[in-house]
Parts: sequence; C-alpha cells; structure tokens
Amino acid sequence: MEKMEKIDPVLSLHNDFTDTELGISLNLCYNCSTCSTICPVALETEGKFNPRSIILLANFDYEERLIVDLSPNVWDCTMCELCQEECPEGVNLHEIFLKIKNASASYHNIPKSYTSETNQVYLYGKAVPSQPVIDKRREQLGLPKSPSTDVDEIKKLMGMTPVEKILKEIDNLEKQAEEK
Amino acid sequence: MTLDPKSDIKDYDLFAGCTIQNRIPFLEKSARFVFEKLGYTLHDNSYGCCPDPVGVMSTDYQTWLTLGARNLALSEKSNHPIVSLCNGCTETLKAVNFELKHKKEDFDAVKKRLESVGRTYFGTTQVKHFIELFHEDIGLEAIKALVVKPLTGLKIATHVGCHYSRPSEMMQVDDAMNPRFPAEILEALGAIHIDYEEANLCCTSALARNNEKASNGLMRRKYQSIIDSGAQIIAVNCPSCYQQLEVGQRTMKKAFDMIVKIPVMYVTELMALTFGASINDIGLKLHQIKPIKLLKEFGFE
Ligand code: SF4
Ligand code: SF4
Repeated sequence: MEKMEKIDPVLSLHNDFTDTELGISLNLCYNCSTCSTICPVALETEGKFNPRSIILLANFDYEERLIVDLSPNVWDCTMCELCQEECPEGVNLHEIFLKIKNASASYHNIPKSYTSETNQVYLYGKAVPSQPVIDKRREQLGLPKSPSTDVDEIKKLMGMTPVEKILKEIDNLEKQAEEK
Repeated sequence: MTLDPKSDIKDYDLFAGCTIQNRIPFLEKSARFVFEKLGYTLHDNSYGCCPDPVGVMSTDYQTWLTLGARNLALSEKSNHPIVSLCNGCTETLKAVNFELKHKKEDFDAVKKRLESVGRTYFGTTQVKHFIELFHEDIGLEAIKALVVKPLTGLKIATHVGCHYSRPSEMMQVDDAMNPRFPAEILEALGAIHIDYEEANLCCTSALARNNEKASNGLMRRKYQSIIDSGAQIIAVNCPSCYQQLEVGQRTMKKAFDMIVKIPVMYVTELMALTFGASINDIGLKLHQIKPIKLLKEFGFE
C-alpha cells in the first residue's frame, strides 16, 4: 500500500519512549529472553517474530523498522499477554506494543480487518451491527431486541480523537489504488 | 451462609457485547436463563461497542479509552454494576477504568470529550466477567444447589482465553497464568474437568487477522492437545474464542486434512442445561459443531 509522505514515523515513537514512565520501563529490559521463550508466536515462527527483538529495536530507536518496514511485524502479536505477565523486569510490553501499533496505524501500516472493524464502530456504533436475520433469530429465541446506541454521539466522540483522520486517509488511499 | 455485601446486589447491567448480540445470540439466551434461575435481574443499556481491545485499541488508543468510558458512564448513570459475557468487553471496561485512574492527562481529555456530548465519567462502575460473578459472588455451593440434572460423566476441557485474566494488573481475577474458575464451576455441575497441555494457548483469533499460517499452526497444536486429552466438549467463556475454536475445526480440515469434531460450548449453556433448560430452549441447534447427539447420550433432552 502506498504511504503518505507527510508522516514522519521516526518522530512519533521517539517521544513516547524517551523520558516517560514507559521509556523507563522499556529501558529495564536486560535481554533475558523470558518473553520470547513463552511467546507462542515466537515458537510457531521459529523466532521470526519475537517480543524480545521488538523491545530491543524500540530501545535503540529503530522506529523505521518497527513502523515502516514492519520487520519484525508487530501485528503478528496475538495479544495473549503472557510476556507481560512473565517479564522479570516488569517491562510494560503491553503498552509498548500498543504504541508501536498505533504509530503503524497512523502510518497506514495496519491490517485491513482492524480498520474495517474500527470503521464499523464509526458508522454503526458497534463492531458487529445488528442485522435483520439475527434480529429475527433473537425473536425466535425469545430474546429482547438488541439494544440500540447513539451512533451520532459515537461518531462525534471519534471525531475528537485521531482515528477519524486515520480512517479517512486509509479510505482515500484505497480509492486511489482502485482507480489505478 | 453469610453473604458478602457485594453479592447482595442482584441488579446488573448486562454487557452482552456486539458479537453475542448480533451474531451468536443463543449464547445470550443461555446466560439470561442462568441469571434468572440465580435470582438476578439484568438490565439493558444503550451501550456502543466496548470497543474491542484488539481491533479498536490497536488502531487508536484514544478512541478506545473514550468509547469505553462512554459505556462506563452509561452505567454510572443507571447505577448498576456491569456483568459482561465476553472476555474482550470485560478487558476493555476494566482496563479503561484502570488506565483513567492512573493517567491524569488521559482522564482529563476523556472527561472533556464526554462532557461535550453531555456525559459525565467518574470511574465508579464496577465491572465483572460472568465467570467471576458466578464463582466469587454466587459461589459454587449456591450453583450446585440449582442443579437438577448434573453433567455426570461428561469430559470437558476448558479454554479460558487470554483476555479473561490478563493483564492481571487490570483484570484482577482468578490465577492469571492458570485460571481455574471455569473448571471449578463445571465440576460443581458434575462434569469431569479434563486438563490438557495447551490449555493456556491462545485461540489465536487476533493472530489470524495478520498471519493465517502461524495461527493455523498454533491451532493445530491446541486441537491435537485437546484430542489427546480425550475431552468430549470444549467449554469457553468468550465469544471470540467460541467462534475461533468452532470455525478453526473446518480450517484444520482444509489446511492439514486434520479431522476435529469437538463441540464448543459456552459455560452458561452447560449451566442452563443442568438448571433444567432443554436443548431447544437455548438454541443449541445453532452451533456449527452440533453438541446435540452427545448431550442426548448423556440424557439431556
Ligand atoms: S522478558 Fe522482559 S527483560 Fe527479558 S527480554 Fe523480554 S522484555 Fe526484556
Ligand atoms: S502478547 Fe504478543 S508478544 Fe507477548 S507473548 Fe503473546 S503473542 Fe507473544
């Protein structure tokens, strides 16, 4: 997918990882490999993906590799949180990975299923909106109607966060790609 | 039995989550049946998406915080604690409360956003996973007392799922690395709980979104381990795990020509059956891998 020029990925993470509580936690890593030993994806990919190397690259400011090249690919984390529980230094892998994912998302480097889900929330207030066939099934089961939500309010709230812009940019890029 | 003050509350806001509500609603049916038997009143509320701690949180943390806090604000207003039927929703709602308690800057920003649409958030809503409520507040003895038809002889493995107990700092439930509550509930219903080596392995529903090959490989390990254990049913307490472990059985056939045919059932479905619901009452025919033949062998109608 084509990237937008104006985003500088290097700057976006550096600030989060320097002189912050998270940065201090990141610095505590002493490369012991407990996280990559317990990580199921590291096991399955024979170490091609592994949390230790992501922490190492984050520590040394290799943001371009993490966000632009996705090498290693942070989206291969299955979010089982085993590493978070077992790290002997209490490195906040959960939040460090989250920062890297959010930064990748603003760089449009995010799996399609993630943005389509977020877009569903933007459009319908729910990742899985109600649909006639399930409404009917609910009725047959004797369940009350699936409660509705205030979609406009949710849209308004999302407009106050960076997500609206990210979704629009990705949508534009997809349209451009289709035209080509 | 002396009642813990928290278990005196019998009115809860139900957070069924949009996957259950709008895709696999029969799970909600069994949960409502069980709560009614337990003497609880569930209230609906006009929640939006929790939102999902995988999809939405990974896209944008601020959106996740803000929409999560909006849901919590709705229950602050109704003045009921929340019981959630989904691991992901539980994680979001507990974690948003936790984060906003510890991060002043985010708290102020979220509060301001919510105020601009006329909502107030203080962070006072209590959130519980249904397993937590059953095990901690209601207790195994009270559950046992409602069993009219036990699961005697049925060998059941549990897949508890990652987001139920981790990150432990936020979830504060059970043993984070070796959760036992679901197994203990099933034992109280008369089932034989079966342990297996890969019990802690993720259902990989998040991984499948980016790396199907790795996800398939891990699922194969998981299924093989369950097959080797001799379990007849996989009991779950999360709709994402439910879907992943059901659909995954077809994937195994395609990817590895591996035959897996083990019904996946929600803990509330098994509870409902033992509390007297019929197979039909709770829509068990809507499962992809039908548990009906097996259940009939064990005397359920
Ligand atoms: S377990 Fe913690 S300290 Fe050890 S390598 Fe991983 S992040 Fe670093
Ligand atoms: S949370 Fe991600 S990186 Fe950590 S062990 Fe699980 S899959 Fe591996």
